[in-house]
Amino acid sequence: MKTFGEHELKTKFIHVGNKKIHIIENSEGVFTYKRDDVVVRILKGRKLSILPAPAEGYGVGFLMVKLVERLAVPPGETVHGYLSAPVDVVVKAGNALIDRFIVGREKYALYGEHSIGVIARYHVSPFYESEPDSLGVVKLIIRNPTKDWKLVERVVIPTKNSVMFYSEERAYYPLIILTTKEPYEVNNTGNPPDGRLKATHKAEPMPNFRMRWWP
Amino acid sequence: MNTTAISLPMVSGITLEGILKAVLAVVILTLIGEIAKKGIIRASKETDLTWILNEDTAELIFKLFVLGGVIGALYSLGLMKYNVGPTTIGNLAFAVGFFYISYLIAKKSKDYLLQTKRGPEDKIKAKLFYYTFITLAFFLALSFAGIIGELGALLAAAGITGIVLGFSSRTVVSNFVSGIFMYFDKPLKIGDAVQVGNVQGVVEDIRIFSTRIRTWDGTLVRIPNEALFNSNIVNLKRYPVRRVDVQVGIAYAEDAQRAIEAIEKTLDEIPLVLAEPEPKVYVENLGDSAVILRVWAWVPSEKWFDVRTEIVRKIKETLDREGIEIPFPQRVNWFANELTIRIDDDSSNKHNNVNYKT
Repeated sequence: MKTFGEHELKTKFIHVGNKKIHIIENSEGVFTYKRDDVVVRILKGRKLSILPAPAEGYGVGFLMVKLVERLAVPPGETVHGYLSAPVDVVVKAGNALIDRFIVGREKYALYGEHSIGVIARYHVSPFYESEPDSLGVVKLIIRNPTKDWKLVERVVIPTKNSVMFYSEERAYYPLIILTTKEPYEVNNTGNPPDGRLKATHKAEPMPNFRMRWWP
Repeated sequence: MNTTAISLPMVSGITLEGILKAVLAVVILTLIGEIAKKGIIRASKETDLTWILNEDTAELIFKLFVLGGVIGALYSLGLMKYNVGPTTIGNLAFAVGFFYISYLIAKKSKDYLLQTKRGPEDKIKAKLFYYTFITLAFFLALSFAGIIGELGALLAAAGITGIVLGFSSRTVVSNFVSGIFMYFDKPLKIGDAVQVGNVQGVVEDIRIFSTRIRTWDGTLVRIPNEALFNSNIVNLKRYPVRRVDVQVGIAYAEDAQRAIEAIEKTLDEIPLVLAEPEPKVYVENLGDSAVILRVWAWVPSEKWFDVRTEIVRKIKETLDREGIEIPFPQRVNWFANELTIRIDDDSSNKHNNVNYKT
């Protein structure tokens, strides 16, 4: 069932994760958008866009994915895999943002120390070798350029204003590259993990994030 | 017509020629000022440099020319040569003009700094710049007035007055110095949620002499900087996370471990209770009437109050749902001697004594 992308305005339900959007046609060209307590009347509209957004929740700039099992990466190796990830959802009529909501479990954690850490959206995920069946997906490449084995137990991804990619059913974060030189460095490449996916907007270059507190 | 009368002195050495020159000076410089003003306003509409080329600057330049014209006119009239104490009217007029223009420049610069950089620290920097500039301009103006050399003598002459003023303004100076120390110490900044003594709220403004705090109930409290500097300042949002600390009492008959697990599950379901650092629930004490559980949960500092109220409410709901009793305070009284209770019977007016043993 189609979740992300443009939806023709007509009376129907759209399921997005654990949320349900209800569109009701009132009269010719006048629609009511309903989601939980949010109600918006759309005048003379034809289409509605439902797009993924980075999991910023109440306004955080990082996503911390903790791995269910820590990974031991051999020296000089590059590992490809996937993580499940939370996403937010934005709904637009034309280019007007009419709704933004969180799907799935919302949880936060402190990354770093009590005095100088940052609050990040928190998610626990296994390291998948193939694409997981979750609404949000991160394609992760782990590079170990050092001469030592390295442990990875979490990945902290800068997400503020990040571009997102989507198919009809799933949302994708840009390709993420974790380099295990010390300190670990996370590169939100802004590139699609798969060439067939659509982008939510034009990707802006983002600085690499150094994970001061690793692994 | 007797033309020689024109060059004759008229009143106190003021000649008609001098008056004409004075009027010309004012008119010409006012006109130049007006042209410059219009030119700047026109330029401001065609440039990106509006921070400098704008209506304020145009007004400032105009005032500068007018002031120049007035001073020139006073010179033309020959009024500037008269002595006033150790200096002349000319020097005084120039000094006043200089200080006025400096004041306008300082004020404009401060406003510009506040417009372009709106951070809390920038506000304080702008004020420091403003006061430093004004102070320098003041002493330069005294120098132009030709009385700075006399300043020492004046100060010495005013020694006793100075001492009296010094004592009376001790608090003012102390507040001022504390304000400067606070700028470097940075115990708080504008926008911080703080507690100073029994005042709690958000720092609205830090001024040279005092700091203003908007309390949670919407009143403004002005605290002199000296008092603030000497107080214990609790900054409630300095760090990204803050702990919520809640005590819960459960009945002795209840299973404490089951209560702990139920509360832990509840905390896990509240999004803003951070997963890391992990929340803790443990038996803290065996109280008089209840087993006391302690709940520690770390939350984002900016959401502390909202999350705390949610935690307390949800713990109550959870314990109710799980059938875990939160007991009222209970006390068992024991009497060392046999207790006698007298019961009055109103109808027969008789007394019945009942003995109880405890």
